[in-house]
Amino acid sequence: MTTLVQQIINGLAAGAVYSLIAVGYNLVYGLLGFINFAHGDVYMFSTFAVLAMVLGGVPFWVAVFGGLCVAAGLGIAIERIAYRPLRRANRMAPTVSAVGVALVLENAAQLIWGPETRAFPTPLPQGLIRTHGVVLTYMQIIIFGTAAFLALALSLAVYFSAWGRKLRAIRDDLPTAELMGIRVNRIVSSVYALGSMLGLISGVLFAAYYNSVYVTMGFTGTLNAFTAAVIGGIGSISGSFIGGMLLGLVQALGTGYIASGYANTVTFVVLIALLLFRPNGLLGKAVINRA
Amino acid sequence: MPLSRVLGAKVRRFAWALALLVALLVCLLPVVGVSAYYIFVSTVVFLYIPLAIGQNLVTGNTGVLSMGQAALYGVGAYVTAILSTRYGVSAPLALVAAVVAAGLAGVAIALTTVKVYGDYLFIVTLGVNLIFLDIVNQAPGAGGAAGIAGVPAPSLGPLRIMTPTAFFYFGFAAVVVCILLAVVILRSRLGRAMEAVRDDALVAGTLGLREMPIKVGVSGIAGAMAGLSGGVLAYFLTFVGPQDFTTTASLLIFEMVIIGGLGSLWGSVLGAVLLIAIPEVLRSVEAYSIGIGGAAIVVMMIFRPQGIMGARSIAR
Repeated sequence: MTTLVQQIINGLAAGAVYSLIAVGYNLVYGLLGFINFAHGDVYMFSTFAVLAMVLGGVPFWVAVFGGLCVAAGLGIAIERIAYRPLRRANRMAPTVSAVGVALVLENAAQLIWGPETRAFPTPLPQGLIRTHGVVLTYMQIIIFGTAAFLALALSLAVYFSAWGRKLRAIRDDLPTAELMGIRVNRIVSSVYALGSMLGLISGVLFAAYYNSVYVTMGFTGTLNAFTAAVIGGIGSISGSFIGGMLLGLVQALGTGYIASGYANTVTFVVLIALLLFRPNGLLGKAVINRA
Repeated sequence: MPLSRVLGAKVRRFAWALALLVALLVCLLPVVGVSAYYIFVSTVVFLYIPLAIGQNLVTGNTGVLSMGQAALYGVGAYVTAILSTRYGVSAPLALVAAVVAAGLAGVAIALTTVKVYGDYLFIVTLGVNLIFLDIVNQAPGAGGAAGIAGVPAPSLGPLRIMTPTAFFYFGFAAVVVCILLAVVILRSRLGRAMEAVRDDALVAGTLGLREMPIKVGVSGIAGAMAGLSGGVLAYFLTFVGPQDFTTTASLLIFEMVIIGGLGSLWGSVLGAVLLIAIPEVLRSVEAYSIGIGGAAIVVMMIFRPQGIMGARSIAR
């Protein structure tokens, strides 16, 4: 019984990381309706940047702040260069362009930092609590708390702030929002910046939790974020949060009890099953399928 | 609009003569003493052309954003390797088995994902590719990361294929078969049905062109082509391992179609040639090749979304 609870705890902690990535990812996807395939690679790149700064002697929190700047900058730049010109193009173009951006970032990261997995030193507390036969690490509490806090804060911002209103207007009808005087480009840039920064935070937490940073974590992050967002429902922030947790849970239980090493298989079987029976996810709004 | 259609039947015959000429020239390459390195690179190109053609049929002509072509390639390769190393199956049978297995895999994937569209399908099919990798890396009997080695040289009837030149022609034969098949399909009613489904599945439905059988059929064909290439690969390398069937490979194949031109058969051939030959020839920039490829896609999408040879209508 305690192993089950342990699995659940571990699953939820991993899930919280996915949640955070998914929330950032969902902001963009829910807003502009296309897969930001490069999202994961942006956070991978900025997490590496943080690592580089830390290894260069910069204090940890300063490095994280630097990483946030890098992430935001990357997000804004990418949107400007690779997505904005395609805003009115055919459906496939931004998706394909995002793939291109992802590849460029991966190549760059590989050239700068090498393909090996690197350790990620952090001053975050590494201790643990033992109660009732299960182990709960401080990192897990931090991750869970951060994810919950940020998801909540973001939800509040999207639904109760002026910025959030403009965002939802853009999501509903971009041309009309523009006609109503909303500075669409500004808001879109801010969304990318915010999404990328959220990604960086989850990247740092991921790296600290698993003590590893590697070039392909971006790609895996994108896939997991997407799956989490789909499970919870595209367009819903709380949905992505729940989706991420569920995904972590399902992966932990699946690999623990069915077969280890098949994490991806579990993820995608779940995704496919979900898309077959509930294509709008658990909490998503019904969206007309864009073929 | 493709040039040949504009200028009429006479030009079409001319285009055929041109294609025949090109084919003849390719066949002569080993004979005129081109270096072994270029023979090798060409054979690799021949392996990727059917993959690109299949991908184009699915994505460019039918509008299905399916990404798992590398996994189907892998299915063909592994089936061939397992059958020939463990069960001593002869080459022609093993190749047929590879084609059928990969075709069925394509059908299965399509059946599961008929109602999944666009971006969702993109991710899901990448996921299928990952599932394939999971299985191949871990299932007992699949050889893990080291793969399956010791695939014997194939004998097709009286011919034993062992030298690089022989593999060159072997690969080329596969390419010719796939190109001919693609041409036949695209000229047929199925070809037009595919494009109807791509352009507007709903309206196509009202015309009696049901989305599901068409998508499933095309996926099966693309899978079959990938399976054929996979079989050839298994014999060519004499071993198969997970490295050739990663999501990066799937993305590369997709890139070939995008750059060459969505919906254009010869575009995908060109894309395959470009994306294999250029990094090989420009070895000095190989470390940057993935990044350059990525940047190329972004530039393509912004300035010429229909690719080099695609029809402008695709860019809509």
